[in-house]
Amino acid sequence: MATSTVAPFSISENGELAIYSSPDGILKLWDTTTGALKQEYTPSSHLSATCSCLSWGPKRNLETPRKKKKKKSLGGVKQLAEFDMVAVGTTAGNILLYSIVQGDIQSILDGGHSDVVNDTCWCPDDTLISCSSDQHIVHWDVSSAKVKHKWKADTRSIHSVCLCSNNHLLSAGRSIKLWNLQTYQVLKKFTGHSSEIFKLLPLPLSADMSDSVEGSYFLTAALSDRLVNAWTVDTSSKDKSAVASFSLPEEPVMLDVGSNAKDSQVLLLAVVTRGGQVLVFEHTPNGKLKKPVHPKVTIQVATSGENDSVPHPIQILAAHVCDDSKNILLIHGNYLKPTFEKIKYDNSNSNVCLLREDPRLSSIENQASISRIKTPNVSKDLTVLAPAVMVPTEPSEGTTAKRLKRKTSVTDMNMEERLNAISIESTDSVKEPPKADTLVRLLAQGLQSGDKKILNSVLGKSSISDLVMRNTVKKLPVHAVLPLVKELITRMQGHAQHGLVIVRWIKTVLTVHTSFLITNSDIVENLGLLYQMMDSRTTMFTKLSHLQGKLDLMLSQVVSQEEKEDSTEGDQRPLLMYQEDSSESDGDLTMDDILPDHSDAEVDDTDIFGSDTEGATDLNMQDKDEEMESD
Amino acid sequence: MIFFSNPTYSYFKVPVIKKEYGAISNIEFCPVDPHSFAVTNSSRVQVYSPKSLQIIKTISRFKEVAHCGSFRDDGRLLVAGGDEGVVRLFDWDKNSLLRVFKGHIGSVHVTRFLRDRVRIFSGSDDNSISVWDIPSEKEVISYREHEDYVRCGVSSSASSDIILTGSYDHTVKMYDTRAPDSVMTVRHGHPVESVLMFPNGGIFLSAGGNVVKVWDALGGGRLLTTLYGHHKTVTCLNFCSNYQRLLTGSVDRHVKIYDVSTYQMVHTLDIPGSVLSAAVSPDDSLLVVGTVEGLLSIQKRKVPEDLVRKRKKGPSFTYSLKGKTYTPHKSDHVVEHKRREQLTKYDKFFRKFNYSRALDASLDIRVRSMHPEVTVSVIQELIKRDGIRSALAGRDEKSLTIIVRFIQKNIGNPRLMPILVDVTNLLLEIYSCQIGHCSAVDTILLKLKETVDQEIMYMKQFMELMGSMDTVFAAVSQLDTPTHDNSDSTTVISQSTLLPSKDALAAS
Repeated sequence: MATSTVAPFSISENGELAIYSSPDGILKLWDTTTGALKQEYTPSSHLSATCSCLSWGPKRNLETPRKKKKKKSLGGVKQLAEFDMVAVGTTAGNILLYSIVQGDIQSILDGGHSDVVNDTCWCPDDTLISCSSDQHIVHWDVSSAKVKHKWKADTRSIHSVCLCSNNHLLSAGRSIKLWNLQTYQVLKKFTGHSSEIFKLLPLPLSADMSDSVEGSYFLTAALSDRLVNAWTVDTSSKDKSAVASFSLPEEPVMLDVGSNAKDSQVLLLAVVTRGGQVLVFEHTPNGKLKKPVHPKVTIQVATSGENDSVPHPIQILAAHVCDDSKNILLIHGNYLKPTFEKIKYDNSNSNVCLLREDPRLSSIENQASISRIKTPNVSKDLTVLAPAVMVPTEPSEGTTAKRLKRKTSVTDMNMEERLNAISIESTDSVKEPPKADTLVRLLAQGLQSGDKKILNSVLGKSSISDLVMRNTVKKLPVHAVLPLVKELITRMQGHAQHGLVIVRWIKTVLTVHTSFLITNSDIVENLGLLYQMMDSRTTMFTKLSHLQGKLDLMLSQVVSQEEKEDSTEGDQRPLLMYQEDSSESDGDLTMDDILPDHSDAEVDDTDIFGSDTEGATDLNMQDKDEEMESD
Repeated sequence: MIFFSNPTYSYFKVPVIKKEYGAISNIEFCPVDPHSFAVTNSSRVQVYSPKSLQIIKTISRFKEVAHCGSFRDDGRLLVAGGDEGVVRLFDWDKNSLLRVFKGHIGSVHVTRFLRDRVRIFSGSDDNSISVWDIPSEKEVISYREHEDYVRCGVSSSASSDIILTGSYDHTVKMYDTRAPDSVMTVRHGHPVESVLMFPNGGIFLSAGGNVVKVWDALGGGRLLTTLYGHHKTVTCLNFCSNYQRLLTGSVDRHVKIYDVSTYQMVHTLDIPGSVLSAAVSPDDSLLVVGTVEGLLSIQKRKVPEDLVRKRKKGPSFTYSLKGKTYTPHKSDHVVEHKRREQLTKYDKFFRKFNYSRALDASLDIRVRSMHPEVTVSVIQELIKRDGIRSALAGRDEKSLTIIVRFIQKNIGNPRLMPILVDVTNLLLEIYSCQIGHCSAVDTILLKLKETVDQEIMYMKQFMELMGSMDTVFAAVSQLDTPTHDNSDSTTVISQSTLLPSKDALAAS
């Protein structure tokens, strides 16, 4: 049974051989253990009908009675004969059966399809089933190379077929259908993918190929869908949906599955993504899962980035789970010279990145020295032209698509990650203040736009040093000096605490730009107004200085009194009494107004009463009464 | 009205074009009324009348091409150089040659009077600059610091010893005739075609190549700005509109006008020829432009009445008064609409002579925070009525705190300050012995003290600032009235201040 038939690359089930059909139709066969190119074959029709799918025939034992095609096989290549037959579907609609032992086409299955053969699948009874874009499935008899049965299976092209038991066939295109191979009737339909399914893969649980179809599992991967779904066949239930799904960061191009030897219940699923990563899932198929399964291990290959070169990822072309899930075979590089590498599967490390040499740096010419190449009828003068990196194609495209080489790892991210990255970047950039590095620029901008906020940030800064201020004013463009002076003048009218800095600014402007200012009668008019303002303000200087002295003296008394009170704390509280006293003079107001000379004496009286608490309060009561009456 | 304030408006009448014999290298207006102007071209200096625009005098005592016919600031004498290498001094009105100064080897392109009126300086193609004494006809001092032709120069009108010259060696040099060497050198970057100095000497300009550079002389020759208005060589610089506008002429056939307060271009004039010289009369009535081809374009300014556009009449005033001027007949019964006069709270208390309450009402939170001037005027009224002492006296802790806080907040306001200072003095007198008994009042008083300290500091700063501004104003007043008399007493700035000090030069 073939392991993978996505486009023209396929690894045999034991993982020893890999076959590939290049876009020009040349078949190449590699030994995966040595990485050597074993055979190269050019079909006669290679230019008119390129290969669209490859599938390995079932394992054949030379001793088995059904070995018609092994007639010519040599004894020395017995082991090779185990995987002998490769079915090659072409874009023209015929199927070539290639024998590895002979190194030649053994037979051509012709006349079945009118369009691209999308997938083929070997049956144990030496028959072959193929599906095509012409919406038909054909059941071939291989030995006679005749059509056994042909039926229309869908209204759209069919992309994949596989056997899930000896008598049951699964086909997938837009929907998944389960067929009875005896009657060619549809048993069940499954729905779940929104796009076209390009790959069906039965789980090895059903590898024993019993006749019963119930309970067998299969996986599907669809075009541009970031989920790989797992289904179970249960004809009795009406449930058409998937039982489990595996979430991927990118759309898959190739699937491979293997079971663990120790615990055969645990399945190992390796998915090669479009970006060239391999994701490994561990899953035990056991009923329905609500949440998608996440990958256990992610494997990447990249160049080491030595010699100051930028490290860039190397595409993984295919992966194969082999040796009972102990190892994973990776094929990376490009199809011209793929590198085969077996790595040990270890689920303790969730992210594995292998550092390898750049495959593009090693020359292609090395291959010519491989002795075992079966040289096709190709002129030696021909130069092979192919893109540096090629990826398996999507079924709808039919041929190998080129992908531009990736330079940065950013492009390897899926849309979700990219969006995240973008949003993070943008928030970062918002937090970063705009580059307005100098006060000069800020000030000039502020003056130009009249933006109060900017001006406050420059002119309101009280801690600014004289040198900075001086340099700022010095470097200010000439046309900004006039607005600066006007702005400073308006700011001068405010309170003293803000004004102190402004005065410094004005002084600096005056000293630095003296010559400019004196050539400018307009500014001088403004300065004249400022001068008047300052003049009127400073007339109060002497009075205010007196007041300052007075306050100084009195408040120093306060401090000394406080000290005294501290020493004799809780001694007396005559405060209340004083207050009452003051209201007394309040009541006497009308009297005072009539006899203003008396008011001084009155105030003096309160001072005298200050020492005698009781007398004061008595008097107070009387006054209050008087006040009531007068009101 | 400032000349050339509108960039689109045409300020002049159709120009009068006159054809001269050769390139017009210099135009200069006589500083005294009637502001005749001298036009130097080929081998003559012609003096035109500003009224008739006709030649009133022609001085043709030159054997070769004449240069730089320049008036003395009393307008009586005229000096001119020429390709012969001699400097000639004329009484232009009488057309008599007074003095001939010989000494230069090359042609003399620049001749100017110094401010003291008894000396002349001249710059020559032999790279030298000489200062001549008029009475004795002798050379006083000579400088040979330029390395190429000296083609332009001015003398300072602030000091009689300062000369500024520009040369084809890309430099502008300032000389003090008392010093044996130049006192300042700036690099213009192109051959200097013209220099100009503000009358107070603070800023000078140099033109050369297609750029005009503005230099700060007091700042030690600092480049203030560069004007890139022209696309070909700038040939002349001049002031107009009482030194508020700068006039530049270029061989790209444009005359551009800049505002000196911002050094931005405000106006452009197209001239039908490569401009070699341009000048505006001191009263802004005449613009004279001379070109390489010998065309003299004289433009008279439109009378200011023309500039004022007739305003549209708005809607009639009588229309809006309709109905309001109606006079009732005798038979009409007129119902008077009485409006009750609303008294504010403090007015009510004033009526009752309840001063303390009046003050309280004026100290209401809404009044004192929104209209502190109302509160202060109430206090003023109380002072007038001699009731302030009783109003302030005898207050409890809370109301006292309010008053002091109000004072603290508003004492910085220069309009309220005088009254508030008085009130504070009174307050301190009344409550002097109660200070220190109430912590709330004490803290607010401490705050008040802080504010007063700050205000005092602010005022001290003001006084310093006023001192420096005095100097500036003095310099400006000098600018506004260029001195025609010889007395130095009017100049407040001493001449040494205008001279860049040696320290400043070293620093730059």
